[in-house]
Amino acid sequence: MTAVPAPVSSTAAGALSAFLRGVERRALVVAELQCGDPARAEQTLVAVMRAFAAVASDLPMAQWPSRFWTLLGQRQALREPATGQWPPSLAALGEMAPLPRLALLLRVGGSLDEGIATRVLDVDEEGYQRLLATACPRDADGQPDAAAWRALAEQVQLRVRDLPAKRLQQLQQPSAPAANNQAPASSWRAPPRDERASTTGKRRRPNAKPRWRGPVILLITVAVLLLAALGWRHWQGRALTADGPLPEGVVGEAGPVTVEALPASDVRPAAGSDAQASEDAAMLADRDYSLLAEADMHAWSAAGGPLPVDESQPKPTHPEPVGAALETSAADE
Amino acid sequence: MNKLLFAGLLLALPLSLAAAPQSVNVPLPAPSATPSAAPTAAAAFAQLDPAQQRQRRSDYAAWRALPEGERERIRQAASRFAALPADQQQRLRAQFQAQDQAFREGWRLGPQLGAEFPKLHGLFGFVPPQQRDAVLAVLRQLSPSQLVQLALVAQRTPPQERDSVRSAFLTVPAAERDTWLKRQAGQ
Repeated sequence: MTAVPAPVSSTAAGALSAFLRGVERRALVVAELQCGDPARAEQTLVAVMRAFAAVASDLPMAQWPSRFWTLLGQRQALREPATGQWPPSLAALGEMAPLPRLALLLRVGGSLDEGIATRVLDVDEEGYQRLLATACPRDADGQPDAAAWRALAEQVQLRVRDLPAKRLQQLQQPSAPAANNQAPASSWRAPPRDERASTTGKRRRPNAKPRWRGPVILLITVAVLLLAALGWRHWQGRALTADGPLPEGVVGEAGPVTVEALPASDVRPAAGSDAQASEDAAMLADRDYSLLAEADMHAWSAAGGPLPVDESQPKPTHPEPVGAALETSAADE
Repeated sequence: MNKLLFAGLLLALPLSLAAAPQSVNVPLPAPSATPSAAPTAAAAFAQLDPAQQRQRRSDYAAWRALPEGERERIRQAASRFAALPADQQQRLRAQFQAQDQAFREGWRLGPQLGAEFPKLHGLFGFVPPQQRDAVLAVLRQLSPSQLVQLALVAQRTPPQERDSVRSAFLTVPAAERDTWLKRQAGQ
């Protein structure tokens, strides 16, 4: 994977703002339909964009989507939404448990691939599939209802398309202050209760508190147990030897622990792994291998880099060209 | 188990259009392949996690499924990209990465189909696995004007008729496609 660290510069600010413009529409709809509360969703998204702008310059750009959606998906407002309200066409969403609903929305509203979605939801692939299966509407016989799923997906996508531009304008200023790593300017709509996504300059994850609390408690517990064990040993008045009799209930060092290096790991299933290996070798030897990771982007730039038309506008305009450099290069073809 | 399988099938989305790795015959490496590039690439590939490796294999399958003309356009675009200043490269990457997954996946079908894919998505976004190869083969045969017509059809077909319209389209003989597309787009 190409790892391009994003330097702190006006270029990075441009890239960041291009990125945020690309995701904000989907992110707002996901947040809104997850919370069932537009105002709370907006507040949360503003806080997330601000937090993301603070860390983006330290991340390779390839990690931007995953980090952005993780920041959003782990906000309490989305994880444990209070009771919200959903429009009649999307009433099914309100009946789901929060986590399956989030999985569904990330899929059909966020259009996230499985890799990113599993990270956002903090589940493995199987867990993700299970969440989606739980979210899938059922027919009268309790069987998964494909038509209802598609209808739901289309309603969500319709909402993404038809989101009024005015609502997005209120979210659109995060990248400029971040470029200089300054505290966000006053144009930010500061959410009253979201101090965690802080303006303090410390790059804390917005969910830092719940994340470190567990390990700290664990560490303290381990330390207390260790001290207790040492105290016990001291009280016994002698070092426990491997051969010596052990007091009831005490685990002794019953001999040297043998440490062996594991054989070189090859976790692929044995069946078919040879075929896989030779296919991989052929792929790696292909002269175009280095292109593969970004072949989608290059295909896009070969076509002149069109961006999706904003379908909420009554009259579709021409796709906006990506940039002067590309237009020129596309013209030489 | 049944429902998991169902969800897997249903959610294949546009990914189902990109060629699947298992259905592709990987040709032997060209004799002219640069021998020094392979070990570095192999080392880098070994560093990827299993999901990324799967992704790369499916990228490769999609690449092999492209017509040579499309591959050449992509190679040229890649070398133009490599010649751009770093800040422009970065901006383009950010712009592309910010687009949604369906949009980006569409470009795995190459510059020509990729450009039309958002408009074809209604009709070809959810394709049953058994139709995938046929769909790709037919789409690649279409002329630019036929693609435009087909995009119109895709946009005008109501959701409940998509499956039947797509199946009907696949059975139309090549010589009659123009007539069919005009008639269907006019409806």
